Amino acid sequence: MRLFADPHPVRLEWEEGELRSMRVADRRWTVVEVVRRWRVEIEWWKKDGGIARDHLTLRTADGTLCEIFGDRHTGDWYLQRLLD
Amino acid sequence: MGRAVAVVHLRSEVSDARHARVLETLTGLLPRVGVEGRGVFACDLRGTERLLGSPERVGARIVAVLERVRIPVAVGIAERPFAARVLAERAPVGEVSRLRPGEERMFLSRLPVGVLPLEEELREELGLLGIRTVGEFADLERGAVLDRFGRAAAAAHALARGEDAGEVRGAAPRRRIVAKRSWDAPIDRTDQLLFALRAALDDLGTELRMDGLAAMRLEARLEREDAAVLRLERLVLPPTAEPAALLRSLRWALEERPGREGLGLVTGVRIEATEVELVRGRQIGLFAADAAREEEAIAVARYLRSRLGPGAVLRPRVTDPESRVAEREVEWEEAVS
Repeated sequence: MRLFADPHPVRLEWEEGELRSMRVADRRWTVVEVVRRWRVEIEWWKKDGGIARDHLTLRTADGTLCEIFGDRHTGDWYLQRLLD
Repeated sequence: MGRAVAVVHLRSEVSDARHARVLETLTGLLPRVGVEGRGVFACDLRGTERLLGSPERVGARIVAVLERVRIPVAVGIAERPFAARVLAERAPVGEVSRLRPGEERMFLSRLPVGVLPLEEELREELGLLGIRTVGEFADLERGAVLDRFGRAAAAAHALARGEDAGEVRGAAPRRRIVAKRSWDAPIDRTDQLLFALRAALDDLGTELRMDGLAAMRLEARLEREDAAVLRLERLVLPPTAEPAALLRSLRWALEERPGREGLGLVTGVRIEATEVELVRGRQIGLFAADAAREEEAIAVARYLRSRLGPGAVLRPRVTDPESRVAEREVEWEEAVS
């Protein structure tokens, strides 16, 4: 597993509610499967609203398995780790 | 497995013949064997676990093999040769004792200061100051020890604190294995120097192979027109006679040198294999994988850090495996100091 010290921003491309691809920097991966999804909400009582994230484990067309998360406050998505 | 050193301590009569017999046996069993003293041998166990099993198992095998030829020994295993040696000297005959990582300083701290390699006079002086154990000596401030007692005491102090380099010294070759080159036009660029060094290392590799040896430590002295001699020393893991691998090792040495001062005008080089490993009839590469990868990874990390600065090469340390957010699972720390 490779965990990124600073998660990489990703851009997701959806088609009729289905996740089709993700872009990291100038590279695009086709998503073939959403393996797992879960939500994390902690410290919601804090002034900044705490942490509210949607996590997805994805499999891409080249066989890469990775974990991304979306910040539900900002709507931004990040690549958190690659799984071997 | 991290670093592990097994020190084999020969008991009862220590004759030349028995010393030679133990050395021959250990060299047949293990890839890297150094002589610490008469009847005392240090074996670097890095990279051996995959093929030979745990350090304790290797230690038990050493005892059993030597028992068959009626040579009694005791084995001490630790991360550093000094602690392993002290442990072996105190272990009962035929036994294998091991200190786990992190236990060395505690083990040494309770022992009398006499176990350290100190002059009798200095030992007495320490006694007059009320310093009787290794732990009390280790607690002294490093700079103060050097200032007051000198370099030899400072080296013993490093042993007491577990701050010595802790490498098993390889054997010196029976004849000096040296390659030299000099150049009419001085070389001032690293890439050009590396190209020029390759020719010298081809010669060194040929000399090593002639004697059935691999270099375990290299010393290179670069003569410079405009500055003092630049001395580089490298531990080569796995030991090798391959010029390309030797060149890579020297390249790291050049990249890592403190302060990375300018190369200057290099007019010649003298490279010597100061420690060697016997390779004829042995496949030492089989044992080297772990140590080689570790060495290479550290060298790459140091190189990147020297180029990119602090914070560039980090490794995660899991601090809260139960955390639900990744940034709280781990703390990032410098991969190399």
